[in-house]
Amino acid sequence: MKQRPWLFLAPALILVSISAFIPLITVMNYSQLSLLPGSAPYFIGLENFQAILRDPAFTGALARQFLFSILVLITEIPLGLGLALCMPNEGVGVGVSLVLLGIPLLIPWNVVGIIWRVFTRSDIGVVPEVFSWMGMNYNISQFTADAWWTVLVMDIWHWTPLVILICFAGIQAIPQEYYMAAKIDRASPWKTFRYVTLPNLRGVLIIAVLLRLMDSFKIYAEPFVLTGGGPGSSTTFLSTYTSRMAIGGFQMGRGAATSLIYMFVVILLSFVIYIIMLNLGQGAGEE
Amino acid sequence: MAEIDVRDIRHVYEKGTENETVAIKRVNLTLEDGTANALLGPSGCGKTTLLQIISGLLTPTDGQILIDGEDVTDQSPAERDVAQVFQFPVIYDSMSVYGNLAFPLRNSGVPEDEIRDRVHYVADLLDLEDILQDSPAGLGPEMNQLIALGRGIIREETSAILFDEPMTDVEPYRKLTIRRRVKEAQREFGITALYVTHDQHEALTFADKVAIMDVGELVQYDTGQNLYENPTNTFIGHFIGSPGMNLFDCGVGESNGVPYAELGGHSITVAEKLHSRIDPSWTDCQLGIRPNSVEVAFEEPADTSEYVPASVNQVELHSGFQIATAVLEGSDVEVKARVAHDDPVDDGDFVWLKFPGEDVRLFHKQESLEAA
Amino acid sequence: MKRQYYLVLFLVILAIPIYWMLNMSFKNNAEIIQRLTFYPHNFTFENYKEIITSEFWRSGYINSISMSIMNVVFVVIAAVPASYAFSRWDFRGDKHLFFWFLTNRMAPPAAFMVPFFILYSNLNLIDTYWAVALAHCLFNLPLAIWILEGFVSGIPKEIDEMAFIDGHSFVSFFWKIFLPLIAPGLGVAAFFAFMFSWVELLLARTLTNEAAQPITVTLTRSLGAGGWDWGVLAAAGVLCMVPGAIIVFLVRDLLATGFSMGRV
Repeated sequence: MKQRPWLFLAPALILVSISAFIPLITVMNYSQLSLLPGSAPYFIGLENFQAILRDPAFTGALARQFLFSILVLITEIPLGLGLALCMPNEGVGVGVSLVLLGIPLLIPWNVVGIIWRVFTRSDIGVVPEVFSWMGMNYNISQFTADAWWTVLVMDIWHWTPLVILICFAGIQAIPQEYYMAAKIDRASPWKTFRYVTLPNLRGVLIIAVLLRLMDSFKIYAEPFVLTGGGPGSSTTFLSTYTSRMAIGGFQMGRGAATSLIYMFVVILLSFVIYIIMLNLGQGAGEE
Repeated sequence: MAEIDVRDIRHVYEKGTENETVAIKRVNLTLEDGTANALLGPSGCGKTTLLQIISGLLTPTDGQILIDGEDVTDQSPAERDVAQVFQFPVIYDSMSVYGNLAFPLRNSGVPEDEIRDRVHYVADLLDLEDILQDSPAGLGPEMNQLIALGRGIIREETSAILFDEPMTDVEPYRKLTIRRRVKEAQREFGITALYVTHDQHEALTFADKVAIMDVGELVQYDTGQNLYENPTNTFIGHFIGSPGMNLFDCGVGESNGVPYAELGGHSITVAEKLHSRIDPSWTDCQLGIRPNSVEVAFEEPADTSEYVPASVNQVELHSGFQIATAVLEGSDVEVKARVAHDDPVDDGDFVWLKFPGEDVRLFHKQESLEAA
Repeated sequence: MKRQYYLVLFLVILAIPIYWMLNMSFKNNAEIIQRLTFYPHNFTFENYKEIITSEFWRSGYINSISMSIMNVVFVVIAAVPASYAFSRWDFRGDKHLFFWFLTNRMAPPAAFMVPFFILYSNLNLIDTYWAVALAHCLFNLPLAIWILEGFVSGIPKEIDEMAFIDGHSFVSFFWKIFLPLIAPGLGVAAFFAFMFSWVELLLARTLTNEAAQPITVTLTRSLGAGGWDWGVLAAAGVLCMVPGAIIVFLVRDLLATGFSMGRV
C-alpha cells in the first residue's frame, strides 16, 4: 500500500529523469569544468560562474529579460482579462472568437517570427510603409527602440489570446448567483468586478501569470527569426545568449553554468510569484 | 416593511424559440406585511422563477409586482429594497465577515460609524460577533449562509427578504439552529419573508402561511393547519404530510336521500355539510383521509356497521408511531393507517377500519368539495 | 454590447499580420519586392506548388505531426496516474515532488540543448522521433500533471470510494469511471502538449538532422540557406498554420470550458 503512490508516479519519474534529471546532472558537471576544444577537460570549480556573472553580455541579457518579462506580464494579463470580459456569453460570436483566439497559439514560434518579419521588414513589410506615410522612420534592423517594441507587440499579439482563453473559461465557471447577489447588494460595476469576478478568477489568474512568466523567460524562436537578437544585442534575451554560448562559443562549460544560473533565476521568480498570488486577496480583519 | 402583491404573473423562458418553456402559467399572491411565508413545491414547478421575479432579477413575461401598492415590475432589485439569499452561500471571500456585512451599506454610501453600529447590531442578532474579523472562506456553508442573510437584512430600508432553498448545502444536524436564527431575525425586523423550499417540514416550521405551487400554478396559499386538514385538491393532500393523505378513486351514491361514498364495494359515510354538494351522478370522484384519522380496531367491534374489514400487508416503524398498510376486504384498495408504536399489529393480521365522516375529504375531478 | 467592439478590434489586429503573410504567399517575388500591394495583383499558386511538390517540405510536415502525437501519448500516459497520486494520496515528500515537477516546466530549453544532444547521442536516438518527443516531455509533462491535478481534485473522493464499494476493481474504476470524468482535463492537457510540441523550435532543431526534421526546422533552415524566396516562405508559413487551425476548430468547445483547468 505504501508503495502505491510511487507506482503511479513511476512513468512520470522515468520520463522526467530522461528529459530533465540526467541532463541536469550533466549540466552541473560541465559547469565546473573547463571544456575547450583540443584540450582535455579539467576541474575549475566556480570559475565559469564567476566569469559569466562578470560578463556584461550576460548581465545585459538578464536585465533585458527581466524588463521584457515584466512588460509582458503587465500588458498581457490586464489586456487578456479585459478582453475576456468583452467576450459574448452566448451565440455564434463565442465559437468564432474562440477559434480566432486559438489560432495564434498553434502557429509554430518561428512562423510567428516570420509573420512579423514579413510584416515589419523595411523592404517588403507594411508597417514601415505605414509609418513613413505618417512621416515617421521605422526600421527594426536599425533602431533599438523599434526592434524592442516590435518584439513586445509581437509577444502580446502571440500570447494575449491564451490569457483571454484562460480568463474566459474562468469567468464562465463563476456561478450566476454571485452576480445576482452583487446586484441586490447594489455593487457598482467596478465593485462587482473587484469583489466578484477578480477573487473568483484567482486560480486561473495564477495559472495565466505563471505560464506567461515561465514562457516569456524562455522566449527564443520569435526574436531569433524577427531580429536575430539585434540591432547590436538589443533584443538578445537569456535564451538567445545561452544557446549562443552553448553551440557557438566553444565554451560548453560556460554554457552549462549560464544554464544553471538561468534556471535558478526562473525557479526563484516563479516561486515568489506563486506564493504572493496564493496569499493575495484573502479576506483580512478590518473595522 | 412591505406588502408584496403578485398580480397575474406569467413567465416564459426563451419565448419565440424552439426551446420555449412556460415556467409560470398565471400566479396571483399577496404576502402581507411582516409575515413569514414559504413557497413550497416539487422541483421544477417554477418557484425559483417566481422568487427571482419578485426580487427583480427576472422581468416577467406578463403581469405586475406591487410593493406597498407601487408597481415595481420594471425596477432593479436595488430599487425595490428586496434582498435575496441563494441556494448556496454567496459570500465575497476577499473580504472579512465584517466587510461582507458592511458591503451593501458601503455601496449605498452610509457613513462608516453608522455602518459599524449596524454591523454589530446584526452580527449580535445572528451570533456572528466572534468571527467578524475572520475570513469567511473557512467558516463552512452554514455560517456563510448566515453571513449572506446578514447582508440581506443589514440595510434598514430592506422591505423583504427572499430565500431560495437556503439549506441545500447545510449539514442536516445544523439546519435547525440555522433556521431558528433566520426566524428570529425575521421576527426581530418584522420583515416580509418568502422562503422557497421543496421540503414541507422546513416550510411549515418557518412560515405562518405556505404557498404551494405545482407545474407553474399556485395551488393553495394557506396556514399549515389548513393545508393539512383541508387541502383544496388531491395534489396538496398527497404532497403535504408524511405519509401523505390516503387518496382513492371512489364512487358516490345515494341511499334514502343520503349521499355516501363507495370504496371497494364498501359504503363510507361523509360529513353532513357535504351532502348538499354531492351529485350522485358524478363519476370522477376521489376520497381522501389522513392516515392518523383512520381508526383501527384489532378486535371485532360490537357494532360493525361503521367498520370495514381489512388485512394488514405491511407495517413500517416511524419515530413514535407505526404506519400499517391494510387492504380492504374484497378489493385491492390499500389504506395507510397510523397506529401507536406499541400496538400489536403484524403482517397478515385482520383488522377493522373506521373512516370517521368528519375526517373524510371528498374531491370531484381532483378538486376539494369544501373549496367549491 | 458596446464592449464587444474592443474584442472585435483585437481580433482584427490579430488577423492583420496573418493576412499580410497570406497575401504575400499568393504573390510572385517580383511583386513582393517591387511595390506594396494590399492584395495579390498577379495571383499565383506557384509558391504553394513548390512546397507541395517537394519531398523535403512534405516529410517535414509528417515528421512534425508524428512527433507531436507521440509526445501527447507519452505525456498523457505518464501524467494521468501521476496526477491521480498527487491528488488522492498524501505521501512523504509529495509537495516537494510536485513543485520539483513544476520547476521542470520552467526549465529553459536553451539550457538543455547541449546535455540533451549528448544524452540522445549516447542513446543513439539523434534524428529520430523519439528524441524530440521525449525531450518535449521536459516541459509538457509537468504542465499536464499540473492541469490534470486540478481536474482530479475537482472530482470528489467519494466517487472513488463508491466505485470500490460497488465492487469495481481499480482498473475497471480507472477506465470506466475515472477517465470519462476527467475527459475535459485530458483534452486540455493533450491540447497543451500538442501545442507546445508542435510550435517548439530550439530542441527540435538540436536533436534532428535530415531524417526526422520537423517542419519548423525545415522552415528555419530554408530561411537561412535558400536566399530570400519570400513567396515560398510565406506559403510555407501559411501551410504551417493550417494543422493548428484545424485542431483549434475541432477543440473549440474545450477552449470555452476546459481552460479553467478545474481550478475555479
